[in-house]
Amino acid sequence: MRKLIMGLCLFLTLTLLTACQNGGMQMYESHFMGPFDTQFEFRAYADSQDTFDTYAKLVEDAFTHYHELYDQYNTYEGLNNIKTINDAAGDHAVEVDEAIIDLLEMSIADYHTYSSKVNVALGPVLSLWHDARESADPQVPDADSLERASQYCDIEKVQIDKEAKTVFLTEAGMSLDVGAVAKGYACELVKNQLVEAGCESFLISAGGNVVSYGHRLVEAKPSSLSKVLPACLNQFTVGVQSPGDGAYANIANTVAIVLDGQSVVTSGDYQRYFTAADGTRYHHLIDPETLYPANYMRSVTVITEDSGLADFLSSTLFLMPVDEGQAFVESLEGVEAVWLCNDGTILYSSGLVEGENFHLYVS
Amino acid sequence: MSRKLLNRSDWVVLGTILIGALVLYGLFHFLFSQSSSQVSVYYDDRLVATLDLNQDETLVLSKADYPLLLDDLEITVSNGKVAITKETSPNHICSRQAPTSSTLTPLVCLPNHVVVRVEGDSLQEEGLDSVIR
Repeated sequence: MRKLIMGLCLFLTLTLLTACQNGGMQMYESHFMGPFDTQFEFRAYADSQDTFDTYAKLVEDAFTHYHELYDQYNTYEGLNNIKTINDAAGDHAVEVDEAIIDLLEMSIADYHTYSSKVNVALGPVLSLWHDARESADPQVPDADSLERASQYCDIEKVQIDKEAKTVFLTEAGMSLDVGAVAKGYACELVKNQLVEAGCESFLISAGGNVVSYGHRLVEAKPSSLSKVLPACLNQFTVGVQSPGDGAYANIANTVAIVLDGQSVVTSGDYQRYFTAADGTRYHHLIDPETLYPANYMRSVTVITEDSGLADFLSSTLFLMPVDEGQAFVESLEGVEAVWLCNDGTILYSSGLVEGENFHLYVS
Repeated sequence: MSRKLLNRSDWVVLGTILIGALVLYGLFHFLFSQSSSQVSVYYDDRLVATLDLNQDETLVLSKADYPLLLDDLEITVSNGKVAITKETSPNHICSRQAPTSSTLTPLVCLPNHVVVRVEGDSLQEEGLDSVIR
């Protein structure tokens, strides 16, 4: 009897100190670069390294695939993509993958439903700005060139045949640019694939896009943030980086947002830009009405469940005045936003509550 | 006369096993957890070098050894932070990133296929899983 008790105690001690205490689940992480010109970070709970590696491979392969589909600069053997459609503008319809049809239909529907600020047919104008940014000697596109290009940006001339799975740009000179929506949409597709694969809880970070699913399966250890935002102990939590200059010089993180299965997308003016000879900075978010970069704010972050919608709305909000954007967000259910204004003021929508699902680092 | 199930020496043995197991558990986590003073340098998703945030130094990746680089690239650790201090990229986007000591803000230089990452447990240190740029 004595030996039995000793043996049981020994067994219990060993069991308590092994990974069994969390059902064997622990968080793993991986990272890779390339697709969508972005560094990806993937965190997920799994019962083993092998299981996690399966998820990680799914993520990398899927993003590589969607990157090739939505690429407007390169073609890939055996694959019709956005560039293929653009190259055939005014000439013929192109048969494409359903993921392209769905992205374009979503984008056109959102254009009509929410705002015409994000136009996937704005390619001719956006390509002038892209070429300027990539040039060894960046020059601001001249107004006449921009005006001429804008004549070929009618979204109503994007002809989609869902049954035949074809896309036809009916006018020569037209081109699609899905940069404002593609990465967010791809994140949503990959999220769904991971869920289908059995991944219960994960977070994918893709530069300015984050998508999450589920909650922490292991409570986090207390940190300085958990003292003011206890929910971060049990739910995925992301910070929004400061632009790091101007009114935000010497500021690292601006806000922390607790996620409840939501996606987060930030659009800002401090990542992709060029500086002209006169010192003026020209970033990549172009207002379709002015044909020039919008300067209403430094960045805007949108939080909502669907990553594709988050991407569309963040691009939209960046292109409208802050007060107009605030009213717009308050009219939408299930959508929250944070604005980093030019003067250093940080504004946020009513569903973000300090200490509950949100923390403002800078007062 | 009643007889105890476990005598004093049994409790000593059980206590020793438990304490020993706890010490091993703590040692395991201490040895295998990365401190946030280690910097990992990745080229084309491969780990090619490590640096110590506590030791000022400059690492040069030469194009001759790393052909995907647009030109030689320098990474400098100074005053507890790491930065990309010399590089060739459109609008010098890589060296525009502020020096960092945070596990949450890696230095990402896509034109040169380089990522510089401060290793550590971001969740424990800052309570955040990720920082959106």
